[in-house]
Amino acid sequence: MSRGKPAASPLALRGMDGHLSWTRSKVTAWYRLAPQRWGFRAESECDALLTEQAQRWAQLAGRRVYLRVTTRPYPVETWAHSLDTNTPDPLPYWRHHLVEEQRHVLGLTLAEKEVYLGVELTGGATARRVPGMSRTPGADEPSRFRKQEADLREVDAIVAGPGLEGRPVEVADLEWLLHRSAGLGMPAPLTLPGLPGAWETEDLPEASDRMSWSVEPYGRTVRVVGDVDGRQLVRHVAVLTLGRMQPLRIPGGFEPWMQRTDRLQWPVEWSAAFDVLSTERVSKDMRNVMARIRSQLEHFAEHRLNPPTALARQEARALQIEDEVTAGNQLLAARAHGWARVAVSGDSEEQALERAKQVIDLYGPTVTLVRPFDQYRLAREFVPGEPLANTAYKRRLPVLTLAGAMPAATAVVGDRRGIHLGFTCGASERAVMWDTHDAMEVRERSGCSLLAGTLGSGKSTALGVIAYKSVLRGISTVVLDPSGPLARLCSLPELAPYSRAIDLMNADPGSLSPYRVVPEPRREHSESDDDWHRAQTLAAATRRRLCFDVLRMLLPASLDRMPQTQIVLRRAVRTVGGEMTRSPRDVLAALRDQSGELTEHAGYVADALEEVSESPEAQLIFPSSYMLDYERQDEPDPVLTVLTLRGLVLPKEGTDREDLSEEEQMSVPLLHLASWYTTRSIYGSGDMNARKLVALDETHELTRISSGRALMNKLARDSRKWNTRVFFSSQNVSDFFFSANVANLLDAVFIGRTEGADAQREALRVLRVPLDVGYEEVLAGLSHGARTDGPDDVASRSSVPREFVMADGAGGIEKIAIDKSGLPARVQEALDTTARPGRARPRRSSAVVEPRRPDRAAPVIDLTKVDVHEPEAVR
Amino acid sequence: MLLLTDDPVHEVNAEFLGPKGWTTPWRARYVAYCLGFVVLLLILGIERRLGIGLGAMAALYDLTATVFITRALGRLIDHERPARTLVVTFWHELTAPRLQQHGHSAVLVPAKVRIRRPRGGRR
Repeated sequence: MSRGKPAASPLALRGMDGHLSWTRSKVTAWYRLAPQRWGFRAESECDALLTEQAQRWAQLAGRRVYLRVTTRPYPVETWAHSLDTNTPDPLPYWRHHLVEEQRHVLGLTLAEKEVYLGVELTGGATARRVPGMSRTPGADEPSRFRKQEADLREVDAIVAGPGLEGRPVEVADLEWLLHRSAGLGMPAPLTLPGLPGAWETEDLPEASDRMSWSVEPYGRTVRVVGDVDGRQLVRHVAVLTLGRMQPLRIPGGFEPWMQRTDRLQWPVEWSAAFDVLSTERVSKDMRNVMARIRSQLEHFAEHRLNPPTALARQEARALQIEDEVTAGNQLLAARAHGWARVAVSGDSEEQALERAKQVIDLYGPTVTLVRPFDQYRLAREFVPGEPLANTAYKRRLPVLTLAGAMPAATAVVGDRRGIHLGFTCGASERAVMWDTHDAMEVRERSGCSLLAGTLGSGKSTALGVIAYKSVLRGISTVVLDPSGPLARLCSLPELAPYSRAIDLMNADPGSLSPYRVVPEPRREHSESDDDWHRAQTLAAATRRRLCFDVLRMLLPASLDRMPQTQIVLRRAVRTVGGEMTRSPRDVLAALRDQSGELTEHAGYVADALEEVSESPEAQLIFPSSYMLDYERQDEPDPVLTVLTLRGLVLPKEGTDREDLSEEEQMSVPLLHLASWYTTRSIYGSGDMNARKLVALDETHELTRISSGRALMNKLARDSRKWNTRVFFSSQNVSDFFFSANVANLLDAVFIGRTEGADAQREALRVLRVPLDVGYEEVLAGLSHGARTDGPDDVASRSSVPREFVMADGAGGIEKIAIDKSGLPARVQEALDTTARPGRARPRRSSAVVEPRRPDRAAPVIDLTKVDVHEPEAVR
Repeated sequence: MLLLTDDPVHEVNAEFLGPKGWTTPWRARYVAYCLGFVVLLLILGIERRLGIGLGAMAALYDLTATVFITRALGRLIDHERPARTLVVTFWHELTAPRLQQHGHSAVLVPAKVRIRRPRGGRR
């Protein structure tokens, strides 16, 4: 028996050119709407956005508009290509890492939402000759073409306005939309090229994807069978339509009603057609309605019955609407009527219907979604150019409510050319890529970043992920990590040849001498001789101030409080001067040599300092002999340097000086000096254009004394000129408000879990997020992904995603989760800062039986058919 | 801000309470009367086909059937689904493509759409 060829069902769409598409009877212009940030925005800003968009809709009065929301898979190859191009000098492992990252991001199946807006042009269709962008309109063209051209320009201008910010699409985008809609419910076509190219052929190629649609009589779903890449896929699509809507409070109570579906774990598609009505039409409608109401009221009066109160209410409302339309703000009082559909798909009919039910429940009693009959025609509406199925479920809205749909509202954070940080975990899941040096190189802003959060909020993990990926890109990285977990990065095989872990507690004596850690400015870094002299003077002054501060911290509290101490110490430091070759021992000598009435006191101070200088930690500050090694060493500078101060016992906040133990008292100056030591990597290398990254941890200690604040100021100011991304990590956000400089120069901010009302307010202020609207709870609830189901073992508890509220410095703010699951297991272990008894060295003999952990099989993802970008082999 | 819809205004229940002087004991919409008229005609037509003659009993049966059928169909018609769409939907469902064993279904072939390409990369 021969299988009859299935009958091709013709599409209403006849052709596309530029950003226009046409059917036999109308021409539609298509635009892409720019993503709008909705979360973490003040209510007044959201209201302003709504009003602007409503005004754009009102300007389109008399036309039919189409809204089409669909998803596209994240363009992984494009991203990898641009990241690779932007990485001029990576380590050899970079190739392998990038390929793995691409596989991982593909496996995450993060989709990007795309919103298309179609506007019908007036004047009917010109099926054969459409005035497109490629044709130059001349005087010999019929006037209807000129009129249509003028109409098109007008629509272009309206749609590009604030509120919509629509850009005309390329024809490749339209083609993509067509294929996506013909394959409703199918996975996004990966075979179509993501990048628009210059094609020569006139017709669409006979694409390999042919879709068959079928439906049962009064069926509940449409069955779509597709031939994708030689395989046959069957999907079921259920189409819901927008029913009655209660009054919506947007923002504040309800999300924008087309954006609410972003919450779901799987993508849905929206297709809406709305006619924006002119004021005459609305007035006429209202007069008709009032006539009907009045005749009904008279009818009831005739029969001497009480009319239902709804009639009186409707009459009042109709009068109000007519008043708004004729007398009020003409723009905002415009009205629209139309139909909105949602397509939900599944692998089987049951799954599709269950998902449809979830969507209906999601909108709850406020907005009713209905699954009507005529599913086939409703699904056909999703294809551009197809007619309406039927006129049931017509919604009549003021344009403000239409603007309340906000389909373009989405999570906007990060850029598309940087390292893969993680994904957004607010209303929708999108990949977050962030380039550490984009701010300095492209936007010409400072590269000062803040990482704040309580203990365990994941700061070290975030820093570790960023540092690891940056080092692989060849960016010189210096990390000051007092407690030391990040030093494990230096022992990873791919980084070991290029990294050095320096334990400052065991470093050479005198490594942390205050005169040595402040770098000497070089002539080539200054613009003129005068600048150079000024920089040198500044460096000398900084050394003196640093030495003064450090020596004060080393004195016992009682001695330090006396005013004479400061006088003698200042005098001694000034005598010694600020050259790099001096040392604190010279200060001791200067103290003993002081003459005048404070000689005796100077002697006491010198004695106290000498006693301190004998402890082993103090050897770092007080060298035993003259320092000679100012020449550069011959070994190449490592790409990654991790400075640890293991064994450093930092004092608890708020402890008085007297109550500090000796170790605690020593730790603060050591931390200060170590922070200054990190700047050697920036200024010492001498290359202003090379990319650098500096991460300082425990900066709340730094802000307590003046030289620490001076360091932070210097780093913040120099980060742009020196192309350095600086991370200040702290448990307290308020530490950063000591100086307007640093607070104003903050570029990217990562706030982890914050507890305590004051700390939360400070954090929101740094993020520039409005206070007292509920975001404080968001901060308190970060990284709380404790799963009540599933195994409650240590492994799953520590795999709680580290969540941050990230402000990327370019206007995007969103809640993100740092993703380290794509990194190799050894890297994840190195970044794991949770204490694990299983990892401790065994004390007893091996006669003790250790419990076996169950192996978890890795999920198998077949990605063999997917293209990944292979970077060229590095030298 | 509070966003409202205009739907409540348009949902006017147009009911026919009876001719002047007499109020019907039941409440029915104008639409129901129109529908009832159409249904009655259909039933009469079917009766004619079946050869059932006119008579008092037949008329009684006709009216009863009309009322029942009209009430059943009337439940499907409300402000959201006007009478017109009922007919249109019925017709669409009747003519929608079915999944048949020998592969007869509607095939959407986007390839038939003509696209004007930008030549040489120029828009």
